[in-house]
Amino acid sequence: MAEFVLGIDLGTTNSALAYAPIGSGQSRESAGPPRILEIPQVVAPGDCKPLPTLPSFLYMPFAGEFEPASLDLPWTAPVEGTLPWVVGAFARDHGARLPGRLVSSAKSWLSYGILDRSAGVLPTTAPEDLAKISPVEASVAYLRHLRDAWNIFAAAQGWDATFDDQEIFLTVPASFDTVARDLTIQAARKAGAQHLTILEEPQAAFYAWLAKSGEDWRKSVQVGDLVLVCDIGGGTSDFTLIAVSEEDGTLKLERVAVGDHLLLGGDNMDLALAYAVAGTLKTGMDGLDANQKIALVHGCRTAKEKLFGDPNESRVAITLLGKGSKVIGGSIKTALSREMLEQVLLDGFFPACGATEAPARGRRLGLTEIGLPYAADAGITRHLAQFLTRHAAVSATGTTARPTKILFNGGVFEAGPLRQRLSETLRLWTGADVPALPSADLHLAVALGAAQYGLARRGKGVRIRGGVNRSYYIGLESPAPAVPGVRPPVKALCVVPLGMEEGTETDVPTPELGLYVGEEAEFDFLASTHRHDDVPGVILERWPAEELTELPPLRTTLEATTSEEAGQAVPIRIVARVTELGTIELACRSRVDDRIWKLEYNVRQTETGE
Amino acid sequence: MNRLALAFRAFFKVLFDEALAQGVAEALNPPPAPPLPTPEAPKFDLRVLALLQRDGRLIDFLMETIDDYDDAQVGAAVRKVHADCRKSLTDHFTIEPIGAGDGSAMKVPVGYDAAAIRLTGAVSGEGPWSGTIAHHGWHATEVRVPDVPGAFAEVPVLQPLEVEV
Repeated sequence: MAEFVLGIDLGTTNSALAYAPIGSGQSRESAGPPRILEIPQVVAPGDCKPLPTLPSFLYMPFAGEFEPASLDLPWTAPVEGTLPWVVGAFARDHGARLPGRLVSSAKSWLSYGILDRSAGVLPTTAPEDLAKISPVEASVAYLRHLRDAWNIFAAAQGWDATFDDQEIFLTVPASFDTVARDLTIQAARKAGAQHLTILEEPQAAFYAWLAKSGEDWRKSVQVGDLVLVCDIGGGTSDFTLIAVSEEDGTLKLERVAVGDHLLLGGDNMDLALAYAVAGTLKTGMDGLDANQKIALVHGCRTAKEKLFGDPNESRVAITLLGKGSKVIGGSIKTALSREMLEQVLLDGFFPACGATEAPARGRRLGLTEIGLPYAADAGITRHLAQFLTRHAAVSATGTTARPTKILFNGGVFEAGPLRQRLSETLRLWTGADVPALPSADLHLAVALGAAQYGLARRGKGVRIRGGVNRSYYIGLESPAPAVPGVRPPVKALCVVPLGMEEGTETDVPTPELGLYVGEEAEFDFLASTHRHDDVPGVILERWPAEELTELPPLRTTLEATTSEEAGQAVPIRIVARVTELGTIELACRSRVDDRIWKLEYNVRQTETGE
Repeated sequence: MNRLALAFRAFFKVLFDEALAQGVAEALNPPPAPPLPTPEAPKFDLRVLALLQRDGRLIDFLMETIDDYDDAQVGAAVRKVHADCRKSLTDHFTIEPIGAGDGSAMKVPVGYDAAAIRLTGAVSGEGPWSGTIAHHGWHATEVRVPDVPGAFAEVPVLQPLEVEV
């Protein structure tokens, strides 16, 4: 029986696990609010330490690179002749120097639409003799590490409470589409989670705030409030709008809008600062060796925190020690000035801009890593403006949505000036003050909030409603003159509306559709985060390119019954279901009998792990 | 002792007393002594040095010839080495003063721990002694030193040689 709720933040750069006892049974002595589990991990060969977060990095050592026992974890059962993958702090730090063997940003790959997301693609620059793994396998490795850490902790406390038996609340970015959710669920299942609930990260941060405020939260927000949750992690940014309304005399919370997946976060900011500081050196970034580059990024982060923490400092010195075995010879003394900090961070990432401005398009080189579609425009405020404009429909009037409160999440917002810049920008856009709700914990709120949500769900705690965060469409080929090499134009049939609730099903009113028996049928599959008015059955003839995102195609094969001949067409209609876990399931139902054919994503299954 | 008389007595005793003769034979020709345990090659535990190098590059710093660098250059680097080594030290040890602050008065009891307390100045009598703390001392109240591969090797490794391929 489940004794605990476990809230898991599977982050792009850092993961965390919070636990809270359900409140009965053997673990009663540990009752109280959710706590963070410190995760034992290798920090250096022979050195295993517990840290509050598990950096989401995986390093693949080569044969003989380390003494086998030097990478052991408290739970590692040594396997003859093999070296385990390393996950966590040492993987991140050591892998930076052998990048071809380092898996990073696996989560961003999960949500990368163009790619076969379950194929082995990581590390992107792997040497030829290294077997690449899929983003799902990397996620499984992180989750298994968290599971093992929990199991050894629970056992040490004398609790009979293995991970697999507990209630797991796993968070995903609000911007994850159904495929990314589905792959995350697959990873969690492979890692042993059996009682699984999926929760959006900004909502988890909001639950953490609710828990921190206690009953006072009803005084902090009023009916009609629209709360913007602005979550900037290490590698991604996520926007969510939560509306406060009233139902039967009590306050009701509804998640009314989520943004698109934005690959831009705090790490990009630190890197941008490092490049700016390196620009003041005679030989620039090229004159530094690998260790010095890492030290520079690290030094910039520390300097940034000092400058933001103390308004009287005008510059903070950064010293890069010499290369190789030299410490003083070849050492470089430089500094981060307040002027440069504000220029790079405030003007670069949080520029003042108009309420209806849109981010620049096209690729920007400085921030691009092979493969991932990093945001072309670093201006987070411009992305926010676009988000609010696209969701104008959630406010009664005006050309943009008008948040009335803001909740910050992510370590980036430790910096007061960045919070102020966002608040000030919103004030200019909406014409009113947009007060900030006090964040529970900028770094760990998502994991803590997920566990809090788990507790709330069991009792009468308040819940945020929302439904699915996208509308979904399947492509219909329209009859058109065939041009060799050119696909016929496609229309989009809405099958799932934005906000459709978990655990519900709908028949999609469709035009006459027929599928050929015995053949594989394939449909284009599309989604939109911000088409609020489309209902199932609506057919779009054309749409602005950025409004619908293409997902992996759906396919099914209709098997013939004995009375049918191959090539015969069966009239069908489409049935859409939203699972309890928030994923979409589509099926074709025969109009002439009871047969149903499930539509599957065309993502190849991984060969390992199952 | 009349050694001549003793030698004559011994001569006749050895001649007629077989047991004694046996003993004298052994005394004159001792059997080889059982081998003494040979001292093992000293096994140094150099983990702390390896850690200070790993985290703070202390060995690099101490082994570098710094005569030719000006004070400003040394100063800037030392701040960094100091910060990193200090962090390493506090990560792996809890280091606390043994007594109250320098300059405060202290009474040292009879039978004090000579490893932890040292008396200087005009020490006389059998104690207890009263004095002023000249150095509050340090002790490590907790030690959290992990294994560092190579630190126990016959030739201990303090920093692996690095080859960029």
